[in-house]
Amino acid sequence: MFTATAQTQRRLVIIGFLVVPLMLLTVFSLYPFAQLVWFSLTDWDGISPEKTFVGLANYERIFFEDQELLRPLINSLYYFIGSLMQLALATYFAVILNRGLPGSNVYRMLLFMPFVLNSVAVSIIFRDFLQIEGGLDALMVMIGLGAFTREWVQDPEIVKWSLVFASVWRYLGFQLLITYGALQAVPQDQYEAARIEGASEWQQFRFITFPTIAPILGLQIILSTVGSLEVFDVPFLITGGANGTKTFIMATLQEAFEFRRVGLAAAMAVILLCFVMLVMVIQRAVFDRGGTK
Amino acid sequence: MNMAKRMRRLTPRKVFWNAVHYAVLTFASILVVAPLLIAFISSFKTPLEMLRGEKTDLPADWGNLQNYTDFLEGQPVGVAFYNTLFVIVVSLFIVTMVGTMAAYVIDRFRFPGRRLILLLYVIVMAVPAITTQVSLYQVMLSLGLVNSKWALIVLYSGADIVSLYIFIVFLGSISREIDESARIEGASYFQIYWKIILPLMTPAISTVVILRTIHMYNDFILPYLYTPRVEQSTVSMLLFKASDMMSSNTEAILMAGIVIVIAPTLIAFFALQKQIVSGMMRGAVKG
Repeated sequence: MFTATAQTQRRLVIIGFLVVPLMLLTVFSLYPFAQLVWFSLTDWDGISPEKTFVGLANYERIFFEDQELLRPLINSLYYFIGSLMQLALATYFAVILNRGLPGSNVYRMLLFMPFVLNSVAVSIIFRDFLQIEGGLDALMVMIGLGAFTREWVQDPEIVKWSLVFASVWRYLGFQLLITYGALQAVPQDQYEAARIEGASEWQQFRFITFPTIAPILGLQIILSTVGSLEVFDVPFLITGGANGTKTFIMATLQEAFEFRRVGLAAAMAVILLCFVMLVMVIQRAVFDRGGTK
Repeated sequence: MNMAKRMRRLTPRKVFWNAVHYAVLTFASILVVAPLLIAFISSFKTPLEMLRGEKTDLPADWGNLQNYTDFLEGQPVGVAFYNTLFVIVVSLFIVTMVGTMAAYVIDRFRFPGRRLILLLYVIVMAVPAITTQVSLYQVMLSLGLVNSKWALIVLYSGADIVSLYIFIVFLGSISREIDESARIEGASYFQIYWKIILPLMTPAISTVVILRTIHMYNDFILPYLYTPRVEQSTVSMLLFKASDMMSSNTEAILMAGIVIVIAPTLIAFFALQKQIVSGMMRGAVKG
């Protein structure tokens, strides 16, 4: 029988257990990342065997020459505003559900439900829901608001907010759940004490609840910022980018896979990546200064 | 006593505010449920009912399953569900094994290069996966994985840093005493991993299983890019392709397909809601 010495055995376990994950990390994360940066410096079309080095030409084109390329980035702003409203709503819901009113669990489940549903399924449902004479219009007619129906998807002024609504519909419950989780950390006896002192609901929120959940809310704002830069599913599946609803990710993938301008697409991806990294760095700076670790 | 306390608390002001909260909650819940309910209702309607009536009208015959049989016969439903299940099971197995092994070594051993490995994982975690698809696609092409469900498997398990992170954090919270005493009693490192660490990690594993299953079942971008043909793809692509083929007069059939795809999720969701909610809260805060 073979018994390895402790030292060899230790080495075997370390190498044996790490070789697969490190290989996966290299092949599917690190190498593509390096490739992305390299592609962004070439004019590659995705097919031809040679890639010509063009320096920063792709970046120059994006920033200075072809204004259309950066335009979709503006759409992120709508999703960002939407996500702030979503966070406010989610926090409100989390706070009132945390009081344990009868039926809280049912409401929490219902509001969270969209998050676990298939992306394509809910997008198609929403595409139909927002159509002219679709479900939303029918509901509005039913409750006497028939005069206020709009062309939710066809009107370029409204469609962006319709998509934001679809996105809030989908992700509100998730934020609700995270904030709710943070609220569990607030000791209930503090509320009891505050009530005896005669504190109002708003005062209880302002002085007990808010300080506890502030770090989580900050983190969620960061995640929302990053998320609004990366929107893809909802607009792609509902409008396909028509009517000025194209997002930056959609534009990037379109350049790469439809127009076969891989070099340019890679440069767009790198730019987006830099934005995301910047947000993360800001988060680090703010959080470390705040002393929350 | 309890009753008196209750009575004291229910001031008119309080009753008013509770009513407001309930009204808002109910309104929001209706908005959440309405689109789903309308899709469900539509899936039982005849083409004529779809054309003539309002979306909110109920179908005349709840037993009309024509749309369901049309969808099941016209679309590769069986193969899409089989692929989805296959991808989920194989990926979960790989993620669990590879992830817990890596977490064991990274958390319990000190060796040269450890800090570098941790740093690499932190960097990769900060890079949004969606941005590297442009070049990752080329990697998958050269590996011959495009158009194969193995593309999904390797990406769902190989590029999943968050799960590894959950495993490492969880293991860090477990005392080393048990494995150290097992070591003294002569257990090998592999035995410690297999007999002690792996069973101890069950809560973290179940969190990962829940988070990843939900993600894989619902994800659209990876199937869309790497498995454009339904024969090799998941239910997301099934619906995407079906919706491409359908026109406005076959809308009800598509709604039946949507109900077929969503139903298993909803059943699992209501059966396992406690586990899903706590798994989500644990995973999300750490991720």
